[in-house]
Amino acid sequence: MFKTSIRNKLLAHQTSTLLLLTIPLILLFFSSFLVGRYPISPLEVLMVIASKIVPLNTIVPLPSDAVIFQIRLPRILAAMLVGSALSIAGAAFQGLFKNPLVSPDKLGVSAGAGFGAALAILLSLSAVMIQVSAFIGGLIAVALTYFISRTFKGTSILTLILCGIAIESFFGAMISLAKYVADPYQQLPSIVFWLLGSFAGVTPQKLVMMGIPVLFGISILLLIRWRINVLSMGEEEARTMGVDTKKLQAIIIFSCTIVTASSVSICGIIGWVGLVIPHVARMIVGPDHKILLPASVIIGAFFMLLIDDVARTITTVEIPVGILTALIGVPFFLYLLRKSKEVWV
Amino acid sequence: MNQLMEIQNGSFSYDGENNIFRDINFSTDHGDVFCILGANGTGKTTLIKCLTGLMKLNSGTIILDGEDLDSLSAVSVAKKIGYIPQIHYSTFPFTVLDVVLMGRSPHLELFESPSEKDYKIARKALRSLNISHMEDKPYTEISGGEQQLVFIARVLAQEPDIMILDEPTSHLDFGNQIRTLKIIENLAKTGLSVIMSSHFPDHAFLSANKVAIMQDGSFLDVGSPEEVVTAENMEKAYGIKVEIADIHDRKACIPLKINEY
Repeated sequence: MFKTSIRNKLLAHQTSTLLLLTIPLILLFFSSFLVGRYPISPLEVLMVIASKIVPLNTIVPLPSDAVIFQIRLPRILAAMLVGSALSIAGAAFQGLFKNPLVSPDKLGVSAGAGFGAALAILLSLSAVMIQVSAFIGGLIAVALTYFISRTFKGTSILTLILCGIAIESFFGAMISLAKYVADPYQQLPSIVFWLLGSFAGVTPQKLVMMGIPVLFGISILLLIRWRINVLSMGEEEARTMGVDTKKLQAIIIFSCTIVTASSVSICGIIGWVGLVIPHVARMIVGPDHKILLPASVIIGAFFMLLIDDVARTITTVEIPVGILTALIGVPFFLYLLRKSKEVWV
Repeated sequence: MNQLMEIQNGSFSYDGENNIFRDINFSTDHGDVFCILGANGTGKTTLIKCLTGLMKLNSGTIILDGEDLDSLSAVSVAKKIGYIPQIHYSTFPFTVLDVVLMGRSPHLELFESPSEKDYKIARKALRSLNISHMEDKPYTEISGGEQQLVFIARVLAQEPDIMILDEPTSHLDFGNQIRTLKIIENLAKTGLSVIMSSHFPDHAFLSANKVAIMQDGSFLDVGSPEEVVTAENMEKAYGIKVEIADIHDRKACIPLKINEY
């Protein structure tokens, strides 16, 4: 009856859209090696990377090798992972809460992670321990939100959000308390700078610590992504369509929390990305979570990497990315909003 | 003989004291259209939610195809019962086809998404309701009547034995109400068992073969439309006088003018 079935047509269309989105990301990925204080030519980048794959007899200057593999590559990968993580978590949360205004830190993960980091700074722990403490802080905050909301009668998605807001405020106050008691010459600036968000301190070790949980969480979200469609029609409707909504909600919250907590723990609190990139993705690929989630991953990685490149180059002293995401993201988003035909109810 | 769905002495309360409804008994089988009438606040929606498994009875049992509804998983229930709520709050502008595909979820594993077969079933459901032409449209941008058809198509894609609708006609215009009832009647002819609540006694004559009138949480009367939708019962249930008239080939329930104020 049909030469190609509608599903194959849709799949082909979706795949080609995703591939098209990937091209600018790949170009940006390679150009990002050229960005920074130490000048490296494109040829050097290619040679250094190629020398890791096939043994080359050419002489590559040693500093380039170190800069590329010890500093720039981890930083580039971290920025991409964080952008992907925050964006996919935002897209999944917006589906879960049936609300396009929700960001991945709505259940308190960023505030909890911020407090975890602040506490580790107060205790003068190492950079790696600050990351671990931030990650744990984020998990604890969301666990508190989740379990407190479950003790209420008639647990709904709204009570979950309300508990999230409460826990967020609580940990916000704890961060303030940490700042208040911190030594104002060393600890306080560290806390403030940490909270502003930056990729400057990324090392290969930190990248691995953060990359594994992020990739794990993203994989789970990608596996269940079609079900988010059903869930976003409303909890009761989803249940009558055979969805174990409590379990699915728990899986989404767990996955989003580990990716967001890992992201915040390596680079501090970066707002705006998780809220806005899903919208950008929706404008390009539509609301179906089956394609929306992978598109958010790609666009989020692109956006975050672009912002970090700007942060590294625009001034001699690096601007924290947390500031730039909003400074660049807001006008960009408003521009898209004007151009888009999409209307949100 | 075993019926497809049977509720025995069903009662429900939120607090264990004040029953929302009590001692509800009825059964439906393939091809039946069971219509629940009653005034606002008599517990129709709560009863409907218990029948779908969304809420649990405090006492009594619901037997679905020989098994206790309580003992079945959400997936098993969804393979037998499709449900259309009274109100749907939309968030994202999914295409009509995407919405209908969601009906396939009880037939898919947690990590699965719709396959070729599921697309075929979804499109067949759209064709059977003559709405194939709108499959690419956002379901948020079509009329209320069309949206109701999309939800019926979603239930059809779910391939259940029973379709439960909570006041399927309450948001529809005059023409679409009657068209929806006609579609329900046609679906019942194919063997689907339909349970719906309605505000319009006349709808019972138009599409149902079994009717119950609910008042203050219990059934005032159950039976065929002719037996149940009587002037006497209507006055008890709604507190207004009606006349049951014979028009052409059917009976009609017509309210009389209210004089006493």
